[in-house]
Amino acid sequence: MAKKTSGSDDGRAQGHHHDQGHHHDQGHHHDHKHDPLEEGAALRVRALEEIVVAKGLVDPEALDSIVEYYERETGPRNGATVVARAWTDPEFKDWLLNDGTAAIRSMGFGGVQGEHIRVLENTDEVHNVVVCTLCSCYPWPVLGLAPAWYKSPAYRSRVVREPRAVLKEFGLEIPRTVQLRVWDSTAEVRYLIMPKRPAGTEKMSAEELAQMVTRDGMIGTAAL
Amino acid sequence: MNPFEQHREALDLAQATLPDRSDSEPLFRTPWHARIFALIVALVKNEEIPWKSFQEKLVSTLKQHQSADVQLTAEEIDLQYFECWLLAAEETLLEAGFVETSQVARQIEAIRTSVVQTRADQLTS
Repeated sequence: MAKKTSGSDDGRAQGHHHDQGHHHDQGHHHDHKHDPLEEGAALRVRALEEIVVAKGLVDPEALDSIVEYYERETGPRNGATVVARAWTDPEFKDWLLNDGTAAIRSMGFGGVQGEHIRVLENTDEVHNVVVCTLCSCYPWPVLGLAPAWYKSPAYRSRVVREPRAVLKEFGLEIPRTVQLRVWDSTAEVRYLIMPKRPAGTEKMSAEELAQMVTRDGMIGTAAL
Repeated sequence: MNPFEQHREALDLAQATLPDRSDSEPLFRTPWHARIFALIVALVKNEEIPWKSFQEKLVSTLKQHQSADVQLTAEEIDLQYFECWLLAAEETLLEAGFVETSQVARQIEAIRTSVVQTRADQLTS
């Protein structure tokens, strides 16, 4: 978590140094301190922001609060709270599986990308896994921002073609007897997976259970 | 083995095949990633632009710039992704008539000038 940046200092971005190739020249390494593209991007963003703010289309404080919201308040913990409650409250679970959007909203989690969330339950018979083949649609209000691998072209194309092989690379072996369903997110519908409740947790409270629910478990790429 | 350890093991296995996929990945790797992300989210929240029109542009930009055959590190994926996000944002703002190309160029020049001026002032003061 310490690596997060605050996102308010363009001066810092101009001096930013990275030695990873990007898509214009994959595999090459930059040794120079001022990557002109990086500097260009930071300047372009700042210019766009200033123009849009000057026109009154957005409030600069709203921008700051959005950055803060995504960096601090959202994240897989919200989703974990939802899942743990469903494990311990059968009525809530029914609601969650029938109308995920409303049930999640009732817990105070909602937002731009989370308007339609469908919750799918992993069972002994069915394992669900989520992808967005076109871009990286993701239920932000409950899971935060998508991890890098979720955005990777490799995951997006492969998990549909060979889900069992991809899950195996994640360390998750799905027996042939279990049906595997891959759900492709869209701008309209996002999916949240309700993982199987681990055995031997009958006496745990919802808070304790929430600690066990991981982000990857709610994408379907890990078991708990 | 308790469930925590089981998960730890799965995570370790996964990390071996997919680089840098831990929970400690930064959400935004550079400040501008956060700013352009927030700008689009704010415009959608204010109903100035529909999410779908931005998302469609993001999809087509990603299609143009990303290849499924190349093995990328998490950082490379993020850098590509936000570059595409920026291109899609620029296209969206132009299309909505919120900015013009020449106006953006002038604004960039103005910022550059003021940054140079600020640095010069810091050196002399």
